[in-house]
Amino acid sequence: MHFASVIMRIREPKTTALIFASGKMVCIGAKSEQESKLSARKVFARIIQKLGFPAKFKDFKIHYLVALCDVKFTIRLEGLASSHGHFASYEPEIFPGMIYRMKQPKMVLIIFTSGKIVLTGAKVRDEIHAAVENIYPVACGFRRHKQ
Amino acid sequence: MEDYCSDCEKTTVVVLDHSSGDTICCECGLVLEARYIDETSEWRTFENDTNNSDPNRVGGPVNPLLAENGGGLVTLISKPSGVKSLGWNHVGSNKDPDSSLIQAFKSIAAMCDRLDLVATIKDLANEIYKKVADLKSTRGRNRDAFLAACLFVACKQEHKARTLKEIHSIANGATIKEIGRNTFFIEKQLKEIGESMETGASDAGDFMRRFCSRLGMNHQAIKAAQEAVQNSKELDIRRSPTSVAAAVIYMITQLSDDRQFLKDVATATAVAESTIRKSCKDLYPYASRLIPNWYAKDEDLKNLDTLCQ
Repeated sequence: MHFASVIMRIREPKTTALIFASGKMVCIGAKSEQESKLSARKVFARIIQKLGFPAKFKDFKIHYLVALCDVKFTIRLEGLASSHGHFASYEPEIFPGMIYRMKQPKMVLIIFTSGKIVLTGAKVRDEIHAAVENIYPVACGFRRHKQ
Repeated sequence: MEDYCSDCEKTTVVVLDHSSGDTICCECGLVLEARYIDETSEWRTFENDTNNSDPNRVGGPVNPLLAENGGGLVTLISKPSGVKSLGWNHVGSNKDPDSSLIQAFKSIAAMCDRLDLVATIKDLANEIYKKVADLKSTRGRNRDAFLAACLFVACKQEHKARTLKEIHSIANGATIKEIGRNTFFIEKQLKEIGESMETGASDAGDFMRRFCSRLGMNHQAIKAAQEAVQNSKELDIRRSPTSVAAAVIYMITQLSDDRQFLKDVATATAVAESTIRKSCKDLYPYASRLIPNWYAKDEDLKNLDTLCQ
């Protein structure tokens, strides 16, 4: 009685779908936009139709893209947090990653000391590329040099 | 006294005649004001009169920055004595518009007392609360956690950081996760309204003095510990600042004559024993760089080997 949707998981492509009584469906976990559309169709086509519902596939839209990247060097988060204080939130006691709210494009990045970065909030791939273009030189400026 | 005289049509010297109450222009003799309202005090205060209540003061100190509408001054209409007060109860009960604000300030003050925090931190926490609570996006939040987070942020801004666990211990049951979440929320809100926080991340150095004095370390050891923490900043240590602080303290005390037990360091810093041991293991490879030369020589560092492996 907690959440009013069916959670369906399929193996190929490995995705999860939330199916609501209204007929709306959310598809999560695909590795690319095409894969997401394919799995939405697959979930819909194979399964719902087979169950006998008169279903149609309409209004497919990508809402969010999440990406991971690796700059391949250690980052000094404290330095980055103090110089980009307006965008960055870093509380090592609470969470080891730094939350960087980029304004252009409007996205949220979680930056870790290891150099791995999670980018989220993008609507299209180009935004992700732009965000990486913006963050890479900044991170380079706070590279931790091996001693 | 100077005032504008309509006959002379310029600002002239004006004198007040107390016997008749007239305000008279010195140049033409025109009476500008026929009545004089005496604004001196209505009571007499004598030097040897030991009266605890100072008649000059009415009410407590005003907090203009924090309470709105004229600094918390409220006017209430009292019921006339001897009259049945049935109807008066519903008439214009002046609800103090700041009552929720004052309630919050009281809670913050109570929490500060528990941690023995100075008034500057308390005032800063109040300011932060006011700034963020104004935005109304704090509706669904757990009140206690939100106030605790205000305090946490205030301590950091004053460079007198309190660890999350310390704040949690006085926060009336708010979970650490909630306090953390509220801290991020507050920081985000402050940034949006343009009050940038020049704090940066939690600094292990802020905790050192407090932890060291809790353990009763001597001055040499305290100095060495502070230096060691400064040195640790350049190194790539992926541990929470409290863990790093605790581990440094443990290592420093083990090197001196007055050794502290792992248990004591753990209770003083509120860091788990196994965390301290693991952090020591991480720090050990850099021990020679961390610990200042004047405190311990390299041979002594070998003693650490047994403890940290």
